[in-house]
Amino acid sequence: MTGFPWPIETSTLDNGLRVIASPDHGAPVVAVNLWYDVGSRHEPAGQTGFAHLFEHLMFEGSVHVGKTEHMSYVQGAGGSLNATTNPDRTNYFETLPAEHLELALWLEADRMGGLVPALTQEKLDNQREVVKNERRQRYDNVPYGDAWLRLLPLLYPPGHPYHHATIGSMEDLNAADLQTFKDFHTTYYAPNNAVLTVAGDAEPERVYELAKKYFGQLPPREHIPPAPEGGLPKAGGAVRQEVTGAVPAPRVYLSYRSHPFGSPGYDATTVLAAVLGSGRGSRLFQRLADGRRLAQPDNIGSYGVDLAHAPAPLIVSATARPGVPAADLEAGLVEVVASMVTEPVTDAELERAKALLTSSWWRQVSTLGGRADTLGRYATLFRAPERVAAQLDGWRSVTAERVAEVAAEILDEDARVTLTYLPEESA
Amino acid sequence: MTHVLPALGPARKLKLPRQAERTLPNGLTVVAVRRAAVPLVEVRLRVPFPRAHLARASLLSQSLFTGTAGMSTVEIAAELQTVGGALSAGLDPDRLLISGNGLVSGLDRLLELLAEVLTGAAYPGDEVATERERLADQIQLAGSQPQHLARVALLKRVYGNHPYGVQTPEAEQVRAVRPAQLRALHGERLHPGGSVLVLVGDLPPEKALDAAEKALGGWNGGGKQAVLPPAPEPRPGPLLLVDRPGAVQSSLRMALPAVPRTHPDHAALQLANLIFGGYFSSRWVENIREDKGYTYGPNSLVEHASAGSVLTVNADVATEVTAPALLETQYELGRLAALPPDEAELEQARQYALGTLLLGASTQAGLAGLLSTYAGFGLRLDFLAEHAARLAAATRAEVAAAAARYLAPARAVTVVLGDAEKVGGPLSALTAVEPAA
Repeated sequence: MTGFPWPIETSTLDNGLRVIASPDHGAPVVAVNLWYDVGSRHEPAGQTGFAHLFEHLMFEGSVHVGKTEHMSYVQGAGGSLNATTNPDRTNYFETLPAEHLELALWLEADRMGGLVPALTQEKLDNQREVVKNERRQRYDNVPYGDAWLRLLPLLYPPGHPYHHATIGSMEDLNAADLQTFKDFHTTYYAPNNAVLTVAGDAEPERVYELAKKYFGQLPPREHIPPAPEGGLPKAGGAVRQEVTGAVPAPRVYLSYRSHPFGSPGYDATTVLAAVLGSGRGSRLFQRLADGRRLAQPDNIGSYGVDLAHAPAPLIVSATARPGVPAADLEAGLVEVVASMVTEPVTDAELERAKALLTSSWWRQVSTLGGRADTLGRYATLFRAPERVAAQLDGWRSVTAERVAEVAAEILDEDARVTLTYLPEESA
Repeated sequence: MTHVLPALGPARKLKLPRQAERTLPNGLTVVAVRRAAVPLVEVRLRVPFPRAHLARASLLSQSLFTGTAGMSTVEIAAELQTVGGALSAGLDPDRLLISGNGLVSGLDRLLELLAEVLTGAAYPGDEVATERERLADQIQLAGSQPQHLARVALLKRVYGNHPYGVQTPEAEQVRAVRPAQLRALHGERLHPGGSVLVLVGDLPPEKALDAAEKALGGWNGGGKQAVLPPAPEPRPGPLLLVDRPGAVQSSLRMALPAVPRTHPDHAALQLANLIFGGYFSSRWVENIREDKGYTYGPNSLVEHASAGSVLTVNADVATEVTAPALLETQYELGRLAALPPDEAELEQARQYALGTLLLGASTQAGLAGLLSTYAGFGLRLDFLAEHAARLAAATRAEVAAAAARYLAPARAVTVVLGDAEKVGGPLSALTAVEPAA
């Protein structure tokens, strides 16, 4: 069975904007999604956090939309909306009653084509404060909250596009001036650097007609500077970091560089991660939480982070049970990870992992918003939205031999990054 | 580019999906709805659980799937995962809720496993010991998190000795629970009478009812039903200041009176709350986030429980702007309580409320959650249409009256968790402050 049983229609405007329509008349709702091919991987040193802060500024008004009106128009139409930034891209999306499709396209076009004249110092200063509070609330004020911020620079060398986390440094944000942000928009927020997807209760002809009406006159940008290259040199040995802080128990993260999202190697890595660490049927849970009782039953697992422009991270983590030293937990994790190379994956393990990936795929595309975002992702990354239909088979066709092969290749102890958190009192 | 705001297309009607319902001879009510979006099925089983021993009930909900006479915890989980599924249980002061989903092709197996656990959960000693430590650790971890501590302080302040006043047990109380107590509590309280099973997915409703009857028709056991006394209304008093030395943020929490879903004022109150702070485009969010940058994600919402409803106002703000944030919050509450809202902002809130209903009901998971929640109040899906009609009809005068009655800052219970040495002085310039004991 295909993993995407809905139509996928595409069209490209003269200015390069790619438009995807995926009709589904099951409910009178549409999802509108824009993927801009710009993320924190494009940020040079000294400008970390800019792509994300910029995402905030996109809600602060444009030539024909007053400050905060973007939100109030969409919500006033009964819609919900948001945006996210990650290393690869920035996405903007809204789901709303189908009769308001035109409003959403008008708003998105206005901020694609007319943000710069509306950008002010006051808006920049205000959103900078909001982002600082976001960082405190999500990363700094939470036990283990900064693990991702610490792992990235250990996994990727300075100058690599994934070296720094998307939230960025507060120093860089403080130093940012208005002109830099205006230039950021001019450089990256162009129709030929974006994909517009509409999923739900709208016919493709209507979507194209409205896309042309609102986006058609926006000029394309001639030269869009690419992000730094994502290639990696051969890892120069294992790396470790220990952090002592306000955490309730030791926690260990092992991390490896796998393959870029979208490659056959990454599909195999995804299956590997599910066998190793997805749920209570997984090897990590069975052996360390249930069997040897080294790890707490929560927060034990492994997963790949779906990044496409360089070998994506595979992360394995567990938290020690009371009285278990971090070193014992680490040794246990290392042993179970090594078993992926030495002990063949059984049919039952493979079947379980594939059933989990299958149901999580269906959950992802069960909402119109999830469906539109997934189409935008495959269109932006691979210029091939129809590849969404093949993702499920990409996982299902992975064999036990293939998992062992990929395990032997990526779970190399000389390329391992180990991050350990220790509670203050045991220091 | 076209510069004018586009005109609206005609509004499309909310079509309620057909639901089928059957009460089994053992007393279990099953409600099924077809939503054919993806080949999954959503499962929600709501079992009334008020006035249960808090530590035992909490540990029961966490240990329910840890083994039966014939299956270990890992076998249950692995079997569920083989149909792409998962089930878990959660507790609040009203009910135990088992929720999960899986591939629709695996519904029979999913329900068999659910029945296996409902009729034969064994609470094996070693597994209970594991879950006990895990829960105790979670409670200890929560004790280091400001959002949790602020919530605990607010509940205690609002509900006092009512069962809603304490919703998280102490770690030590959890550590004292024995497996035999869990088996006794299970026998006494986990029975089909009064319970509601909701199934939403890509299958005909009648077929879903048959599958449920086949799997769960043998679930039995009498047991007692408990009833909660009505919850007290928030009683205003001095601001309660809970000290958290060195905190980089203060957690501001307020509680205001509210009414249940079926009350004639409910639609107007919901709209008044939206205008105040209940969504992004509200006065309060615009003020303290968009204008002043005091906070990242403030929210206010009406919370419904079976013994009463309450409106809560929540914001985490930088320490140095704690008093200014309280000032703006009181100002926005007072402004709406004293002056009627504009026609335009009421219309915007109304469209948002109606759209949210529509969007929420458009996915399998959203619909299942809504149905299960409604069922806890004796309501069915047709309430969605009735509520939509009330939202559509609420007048400006009704919303102004609801704001005056329920959003008046004079009626608020206020709690602040933060660095008392830094925020105590500025706060006491605005209101009477009582340090927490």
